[in-house]
Amino acid sequence: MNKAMHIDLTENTAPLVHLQNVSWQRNGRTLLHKVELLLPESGLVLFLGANGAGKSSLLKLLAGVSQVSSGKILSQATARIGWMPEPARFYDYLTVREHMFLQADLLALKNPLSAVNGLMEEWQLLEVDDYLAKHLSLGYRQRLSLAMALLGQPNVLLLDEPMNGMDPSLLQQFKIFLSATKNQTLVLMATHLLAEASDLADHCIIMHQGALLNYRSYQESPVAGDALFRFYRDSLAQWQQQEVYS
Amino acid sequence: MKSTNPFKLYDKERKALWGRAGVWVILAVLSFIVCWLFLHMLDRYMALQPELLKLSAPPTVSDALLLPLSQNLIKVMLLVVAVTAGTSFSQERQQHTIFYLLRTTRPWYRSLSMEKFKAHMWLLLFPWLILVTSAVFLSMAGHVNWLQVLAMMLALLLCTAWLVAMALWLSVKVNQVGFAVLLCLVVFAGLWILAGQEIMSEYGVNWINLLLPVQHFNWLLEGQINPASLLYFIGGTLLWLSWADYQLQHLRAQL
Repeated sequence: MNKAMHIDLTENTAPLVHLQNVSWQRNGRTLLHKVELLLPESGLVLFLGANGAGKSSLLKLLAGVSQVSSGKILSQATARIGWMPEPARFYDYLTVREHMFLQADLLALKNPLSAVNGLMEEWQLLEVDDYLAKHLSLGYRQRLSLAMALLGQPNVLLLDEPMNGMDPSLLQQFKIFLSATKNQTLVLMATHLLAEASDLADHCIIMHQGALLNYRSYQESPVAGDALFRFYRDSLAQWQQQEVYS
Repeated sequence: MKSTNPFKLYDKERKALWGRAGVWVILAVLSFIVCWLFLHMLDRYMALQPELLKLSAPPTVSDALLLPLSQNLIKVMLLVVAVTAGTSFSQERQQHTIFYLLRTTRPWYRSLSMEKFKAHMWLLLFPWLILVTSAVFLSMAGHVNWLQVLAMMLALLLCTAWLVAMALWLSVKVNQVGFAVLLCLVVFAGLWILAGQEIMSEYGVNWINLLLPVQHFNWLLEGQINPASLLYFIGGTLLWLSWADYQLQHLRAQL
């Protein structure tokens, strides 16, 4: 098992979210191992890692749908979390508009009509508003999942493989949205599309076997996709070397 | 200005319930069976009427026909509730849509199980409709005790509420729809079979029966509306619903 790593991205400000020595086991498998992470109030944090590294598990815990096995997740009272899971799950018998209103009801929004209409217009869901979710293409499923995550104006946005299935124009719109949003929102994004995500990242965290392996900040200058890949590859190589010697 | 939400969790639950073709098929088949049994009872009652009239206090139409009809209706509701409310949470778990529900924070009167409970109580229309229709037709030929019919409707309401709440609690525990139906049917059938035991009844009331819904349901059907039975059904319903919510909170440790 990896040695636990402590990562502080707050630069001496109060953390919005603090994962305190978080471990998570399910069915005898360790999904997360002693994760110690302090997250700032804004910025885009990219999580990289192979399949099964624990990226989605970490986001799921932060979304509050699962419970840690040990450790604590502390967040400020002002934290409003929006979660875009992967894969996006929908009710087959509900339409796009009904999904949006249902989510608005679950979040107890005060003004659901304007919130739903605004997001449906922004993400071009009006043209499919009466479609059943089971009839949507992957791209529209992603739009719906994103729009549902954005209801309630979250200041912590958890995005799990958000760019899967997005067409070029949607991808462009999504990237413009993220570059504007990350200035006042904490965005945690797990992805394998390094080239697309690299220029947006303020911080990059490498995960492996449920643990935080390495991190780097790119707030001063954006990083290119190939440089991000080298960082990922080198981090893994460094870990493998340590494993051999230990 | 605040706007109201046109599609809430309660609406979603109603759509989930009535949008399933299987529910309509089951209700249609069960209505046919119940009505067929009722016609047989009516036939037998007509044949026995000359003999019954010789008795000093012959049974009324309500006692002879509507009472057994109500007893049949609640037995039928065991199956209906098992395949509807009994699968409600387990289907959410199986399809992973439970994640949406678990992220909500709502007051107790708008809790997840309460919203599902309210939506599933529309199932009550099924036994009520059959009972009232039968009573109306019988009233054309004889005297129907409408107060007793009201008591029967109350009994069906309370017992169905109790069963729906219990089915919701059971369905939280299971993540497979098929197993959820089976579990509900086994538990419901167990309760009814246990209540049918006449062992040691010669010594008085079997106290186990007092813990089961059947005895209280029968008392209410007969028009004996006692506080103990009301407390049993209302308290029991609230208890099952709170357990369902408690169980949901602890589901996070399993997901």
